[in-house]
Amino acid sequence: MQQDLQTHKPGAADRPYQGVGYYGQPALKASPFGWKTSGYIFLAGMSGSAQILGTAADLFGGPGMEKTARNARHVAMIGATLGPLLLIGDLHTPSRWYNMLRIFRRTSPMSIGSYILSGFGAFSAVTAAADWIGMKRVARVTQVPAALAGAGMSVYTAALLSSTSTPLWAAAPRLLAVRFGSSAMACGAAALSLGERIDGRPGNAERLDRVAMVASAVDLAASLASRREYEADHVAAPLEQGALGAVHKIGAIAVGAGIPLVCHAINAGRRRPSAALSVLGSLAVLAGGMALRTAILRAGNRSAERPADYFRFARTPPNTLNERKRTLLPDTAARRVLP
Amino acid sequence: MGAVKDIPARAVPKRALDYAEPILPGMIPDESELTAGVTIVPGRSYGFFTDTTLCIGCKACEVACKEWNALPADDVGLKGTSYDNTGRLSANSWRHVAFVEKIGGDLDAGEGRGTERNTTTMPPFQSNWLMMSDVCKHCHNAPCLEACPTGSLFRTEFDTVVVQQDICNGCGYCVPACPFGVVDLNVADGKAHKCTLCYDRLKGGLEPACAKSCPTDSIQFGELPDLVERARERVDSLHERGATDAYLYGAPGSPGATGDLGHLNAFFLLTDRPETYGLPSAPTRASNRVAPALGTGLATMAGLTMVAVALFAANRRS
Amino acid sequence: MPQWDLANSDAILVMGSNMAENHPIAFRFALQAKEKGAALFHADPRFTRTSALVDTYAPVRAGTDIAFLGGIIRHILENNLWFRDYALNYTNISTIIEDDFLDANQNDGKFSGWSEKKKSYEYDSWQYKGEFVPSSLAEHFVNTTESFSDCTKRLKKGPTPKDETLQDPRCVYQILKRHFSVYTPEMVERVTGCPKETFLAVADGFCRASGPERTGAICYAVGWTHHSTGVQIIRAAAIIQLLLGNVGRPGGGILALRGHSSIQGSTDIPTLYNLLPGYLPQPHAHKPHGTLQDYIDHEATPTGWWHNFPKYMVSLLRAWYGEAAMKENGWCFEMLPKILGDHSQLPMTLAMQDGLIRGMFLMGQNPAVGGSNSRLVQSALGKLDWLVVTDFTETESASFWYEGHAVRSGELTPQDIGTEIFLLPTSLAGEKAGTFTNTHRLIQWHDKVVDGPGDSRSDLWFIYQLGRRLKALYANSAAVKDQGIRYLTWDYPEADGKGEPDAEAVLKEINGYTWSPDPAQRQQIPDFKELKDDGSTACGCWIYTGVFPKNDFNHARSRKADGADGPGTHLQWAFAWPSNRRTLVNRAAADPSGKPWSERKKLVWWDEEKGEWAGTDAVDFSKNKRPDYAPDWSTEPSGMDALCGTDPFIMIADGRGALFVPSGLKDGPLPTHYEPVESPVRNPLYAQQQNPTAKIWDRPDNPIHPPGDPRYPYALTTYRLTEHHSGGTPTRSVASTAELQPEGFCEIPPELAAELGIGMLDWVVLSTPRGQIETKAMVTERLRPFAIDGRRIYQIGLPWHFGWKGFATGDIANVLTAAIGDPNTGMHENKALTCGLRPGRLAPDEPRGRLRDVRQEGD
Ligand SMILES: Nc1nc2c(c(=O)[nH]1)N[C@H]1C(S)=C(S)[C@@H](COP(=O)(O)OP(=O)(O)OC[C@H]3O[C@@H](n4cnc5c(=O)[nH]c(N)nc54)[C@H](O)[C@@H]3O)O[C@H]1N2
Ligand SMILES: Nc1nc2c(c(=O)[nH]1)N[C@H]1C(S)=C(S)[C@@H](COP(=O)(O)OP(=O)(O)OC[C@H]3O[C@@H](n4cnc5c(=O)[nH]c(N)nc54)[C@H](O)[C@@H]3O)O[C@H]1N2
Ligand code: SF4
Ligand code: SF4
Ligand code: SF4
Ligand code: SF4
Ligand code: SF4
Ligand SMILES: [Mo]
Repeated sequence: MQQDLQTHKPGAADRPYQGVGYYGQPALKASPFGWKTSGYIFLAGMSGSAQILGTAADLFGGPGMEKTARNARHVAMIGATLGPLLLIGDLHTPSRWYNMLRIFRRTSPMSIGSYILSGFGAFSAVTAAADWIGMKRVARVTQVPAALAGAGMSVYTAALLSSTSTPLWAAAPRLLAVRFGSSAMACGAAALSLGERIDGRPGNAERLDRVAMVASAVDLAASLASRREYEADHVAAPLEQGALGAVHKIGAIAVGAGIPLVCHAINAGRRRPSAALSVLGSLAVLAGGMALRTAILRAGNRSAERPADYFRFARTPPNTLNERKRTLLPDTAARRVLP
Repeated sequence: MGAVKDIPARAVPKRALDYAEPILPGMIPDESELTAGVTIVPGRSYGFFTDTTLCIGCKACEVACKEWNALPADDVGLKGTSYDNTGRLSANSWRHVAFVEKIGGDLDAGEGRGTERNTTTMPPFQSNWLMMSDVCKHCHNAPCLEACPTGSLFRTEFDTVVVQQDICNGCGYCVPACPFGVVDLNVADGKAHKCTLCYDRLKGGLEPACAKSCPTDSIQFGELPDLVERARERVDSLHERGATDAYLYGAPGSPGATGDLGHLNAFFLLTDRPETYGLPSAPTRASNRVAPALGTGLATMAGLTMVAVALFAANRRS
Repeated sequence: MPQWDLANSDAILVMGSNMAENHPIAFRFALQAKEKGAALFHADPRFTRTSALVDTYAPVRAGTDIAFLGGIIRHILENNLWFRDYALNYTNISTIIEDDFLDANQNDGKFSGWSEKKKSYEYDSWQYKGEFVPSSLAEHFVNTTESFSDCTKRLKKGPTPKDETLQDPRCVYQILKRHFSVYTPEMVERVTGCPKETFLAVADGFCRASGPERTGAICYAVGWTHHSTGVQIIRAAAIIQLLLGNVGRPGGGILALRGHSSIQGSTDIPTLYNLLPGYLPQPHAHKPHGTLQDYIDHEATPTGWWHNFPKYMVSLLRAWYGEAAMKENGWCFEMLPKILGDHSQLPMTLAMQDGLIRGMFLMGQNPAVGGSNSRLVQSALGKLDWLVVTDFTETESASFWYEGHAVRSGELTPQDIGTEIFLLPTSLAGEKAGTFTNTHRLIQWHDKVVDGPGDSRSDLWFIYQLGRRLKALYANSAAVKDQGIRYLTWDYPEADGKGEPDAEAVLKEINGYTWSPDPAQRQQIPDFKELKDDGSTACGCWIYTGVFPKNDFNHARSRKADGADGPGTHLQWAFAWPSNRRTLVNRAAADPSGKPWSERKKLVWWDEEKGEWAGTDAVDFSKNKRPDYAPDWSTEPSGMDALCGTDPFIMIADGRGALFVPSGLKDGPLPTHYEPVESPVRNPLYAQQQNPTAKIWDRPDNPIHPPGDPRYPYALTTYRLTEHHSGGTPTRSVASTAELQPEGFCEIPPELAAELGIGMLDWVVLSTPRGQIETKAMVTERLRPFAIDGRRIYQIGLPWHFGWKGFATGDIANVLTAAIGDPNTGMHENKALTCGLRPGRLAPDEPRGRLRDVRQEGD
């Protein structure tokens, strides 16, 4: 093997890659995923996390949080019903949706996710139904697997994106999962908090806001860390530039993590927390959660079409890391088509 | 054949042999023995060695593939990218011949624009105008297959990777999974499509259409260990003859066969850096990221759940 | 040489062909040679897919090949690189030429014998001293007071005059040295634009790969023939190969890469107007061809194989006229139509335009796209009364009347065109049985695979049924002029219920059989040595005899390749004419004493024990003629008896390879560089600018500009792309090939593009005096500017496949080209012309040609 690498090593690959590539043609195909998928990722995270919070509330929150748990079961049902519709709607042969359950493939988060979603849907439905018809004990039992599935719902989508060759998604799989997870938890908490406000249980809402605050803090930290990782891998551009950059920076980070962090922190420090700040923080979390999914999805698709990003990501370490400025791009018309 | 040890002995999954009987009983039995000197036996690994130093860019492979597979025209128009008007592999183009003009010097190597004379001094073997016939790599650990949630993508009894359009539901997940941008959704029929390594022909004992039509044997079809050995000899001989830039891409232990992908069943002999042809020098196996992402995510969820539990429990006590 | 024999070459020069793109299968063997260590060279105006695969690419300006090859010849002679034993014994290098021969060098670019009045040469001064040597083909009519047979008879009286010491200043060697002395490397660079060092690398690399142990091959195609000097370019290559001893030997030779799939077949059994099958001359009204005897007297050569010519002629007449052919009526010789002059494509087009031809069958041709000066072609087609097109889809030539350039620009309306057009569906190759004769004369049978769609019919069906109807029409005619049709044998058995004749029956007739009025009594003839001039044999094409040697054996169908250890001549793979010989002149593969020149390059040799020639190929010589045989001149021997055991070129009257050609060529006994008729530069070599004998039809509908016209400063060349076939009908109408090159374009060097502000894929307009077209620009460094004689000359490349039909369309390149022809062949000069170039497009109603003005001036 060692000897093979010696004799069969690319002479040319010793030189740092300068980004000419093949006429600037994408070296990858972007995923066909659109708004339905980003919508689903958001919904899955929010409802999955809501189920976790509901279960936690039911098991540990005492009688004061019983209603919260029921609200959570309703939020979970939104995800369990709308989620599959969105997913099936994004299939290009939707009538064959059930083929997802034909096999199980542990290397495929899409496959894993199908079962998580099925489990989540089934247990959430049983839990909600049992709750409705008053079989509280049953609900109490089934909510546990539903919550476990809810954890999966919150983060498997990050694994789904990062287990591709799309540079932006693949560059920081762990941090993406942290971001999706924490954002999901924040969204779940925000949704429930809003419910508590509507139902007139501000105390519960404040607790949930505190959960959201912690989650947002984690999200913010992960955002900053992942940004550094993207930059190190030279794949950050689609997430930094243009409209998508704005969606990401303003929408996902500032609104989705910054504002709630500030709102909830202020409230936490106050004797009499402001309902308005709480609602604002919750709405910001939800909006930011959607922005995060949209930005990551669309920027990922764009990054797949940027060959230079991909080639820097999928490079031969380490001698080619020594990038050199590209000074030789010709000015002749013949190469006008090159980037 | 025994000399090549770095290819896993059993690449073909047992199950793939369940339905190994030939279809298309050939007019000429085992025709591949005549045309390629290759006996096609279920249970062995087959692939392509594409030697770009022999490619004349005739695109016979593209046409043969389209004709055999009845693929429609794709994205028609003059592209201004040398003689390449196909552009890239897609749902309707399973072979793509890339053309790279380097007449004025190798820009990537830091050579300046050519003088009027340097067209005539050429490194030995295909040079100054590179041509390379690209195709699905039939990766050993194929990310597309590993991503497919329906089992539509499967590994055949010939150790190749094929989409079954009668199962595919068009989820499109294989598309971003492929590290070479090969497999593609056809939005018209809602299914994924890519090179089948002529699964139907192999079942009938025929050499794949593209390889059979290649006039210069730039595309060589064969059994993998055999091909790898032949390819290594070819590189050595090219080096001896001064073509020191020649190297293998996708063969065991070479660029392209990186990131846990294992080797590529369709591998290449290149003379310029992979990126020049639109190939990543070190592609990765997407499924390697499942565990880290899922694990970290679930840990995050566990942590945050603990926070919530703590907060809620505190509430109860208060 | 067979294409596969290229694998045995030690050097291959591809010049005048884009071999990899247009002959990919043959190129496979070139690559095999390279794998074995051969050096590959490509000389071409453009860097092509062939150039990419060779060791050295030499850029040359279009139309300057003779300068390049002349430079190689000079290099050989100056450095004594020639294969002395070969050239001295097997070529006319020592032969002495007439005293009054004047070389072009001494005469400002023209040879002696030029008649300014007739605009042609008298060949007397080019002859061997005191003798007249006829050419081996149909072009040797001379206008002397002596009769032809008398003046050639001297060949039987003794050997040709020679000076084996090569000292005589009139011997061919000395003439060659003087003639090519001006083609110095510096001059090569000045004329061709190829850097001197590159030229020398090619010249030296190629020459050093020749000799007893090594051989080199030259491959050319229409990059050489499409010139007003096309034949002389090939002559220059022949001189190189004869000097280097590369003819008749394994891996050596000149490979004419033929065009359409059976274009070789269509020369053998010719679609050419001036030949009968097997290269027999077509009777000519202005030559003494009144009777068969006159014709034979004036065409048969006294010495060499062509002495047998009467046998082939009589057998042909027997095959065609059957029982009606009798000794008394000269075997119906007078039934054959006689030609009047040049009836090749260019003058025929003009004859249509001028109203001399009223109807036409177009079978497998698309001249609206492929014919030079397309505007003229389209106009000429529109002057016909009727036009029958047989093709598998509607072509430009069938749709010009409603879609042509002139109609679309509003110059003409369909109502203006009176031609009645019949478009008949034809079967394509897989839909019919028959043979292809490929580049190396290999006749390969193919069976029908499927029925053609709809009502399509094969060309054979069409011709056969047409013949039947004509015979029925004239069956009762008493007119003498109709005898030709009435006497014709036309009785092929039918192969199916649709009236398709049995193609094997046709091949049997071509092969030849012993004559009997009763078909059941006829026996196939295995070899043309058995053909007779007494009417006892019938043969449709003597060189094909052996292709169907027994009543039940179709040799063209056999498909047995030699195994890996076999001799590699593959004698059982189909049939190569003549007599299944794979390499012509292969006697030259052995030295004068009959031994192979070397073990490595052996092919045939003299087997003293058996007293015959043996080898791995069928020998192209008299099987039992000893190497030391010398004619007994006292008996005035004729035919093969007049050739020595060391005269391998049996088709030539003196048996020697012709370094110097005394007759047969209209433009000189030696190749010399002339500029293309339309050239951007003055001839750096002589005052004589262009081939003085070139066929130039300069008329208002075919205007030609003088050299150096500032309106047309750029050199232009036209060529093929591997993705399309010729006029493009078969490839532009099929999606999977059309998409590969989906639109017309031209290739422009970046420097010129920058000068004119043209970017990649911008629209540009190209113009010549004949017309203008718009197309897209492909700016590419594969085209380089040339420094010619101190000036910078730009070349533009233009693929010519496109038209308005099919999926891949573009303006017709041939709108730009002119009816200008090689004097010997009438082949057009579409590889070298000049043009103007500007960025932009033509307005929709802007004429591609200038039909209207021309009609006003011309009609
Ligand atoms: N794919 C494909 N194959 C074909 C055909 C086709 O249309 N498509 N056509 C068939 C037919 S009919 C024919 S005749 C053959 C033709 O085969 P080729 O002769 O190979 O065809 P072209 O492309 O017309 O011309 C060959 C080369 O000549 C170069 N050239 C132009 N002028 C000159 C010159 O003055 N000197 C030299 N040395 N080179 C010059 C051109 O740049 C071009 O690269 O191909 C046959 N094969
Ligand atoms: N400017 C320029 N002009 C050129 C050339 C060039 O290099 N430059 N090259 C020249 C050369 S070398 C050539 S050979 C000519 C070629 O010129 P053409 O012979 O006019 O060209 P093709 O397009 O090959 O025409 C053949 C036609 O026959 C049809 N066909 C195919 N098979 C069959 C069959 O079995 N039966 C019948 N009846 N029809 C069939 C095809 O559909 C097609 O329409 O062009 C010449 N013109
Ligand atoms: S190249 Fe792409 S499509 Fe082909 S097997 Fe590998 S991952 Fe799958
Ligand atoms: S699109 Fe089809 S082949 Fe691709 S992953 Fe989805 S189901 Fe599998
Ligand atoms: S193997 Fe078959 S399907 Fe794959 S590219 Fe070749 S011809 Fe096409
Ligand atoms: S058929 Fe062979 S030579 Fe032609 S483009 Fe394809 S790989 Fe290259
Ligand atoms: S197209 Fe046909 S004739 Fe031409 S190279 Fe290919 S196989 Fe030969
Ligand atoms: Mo041709």
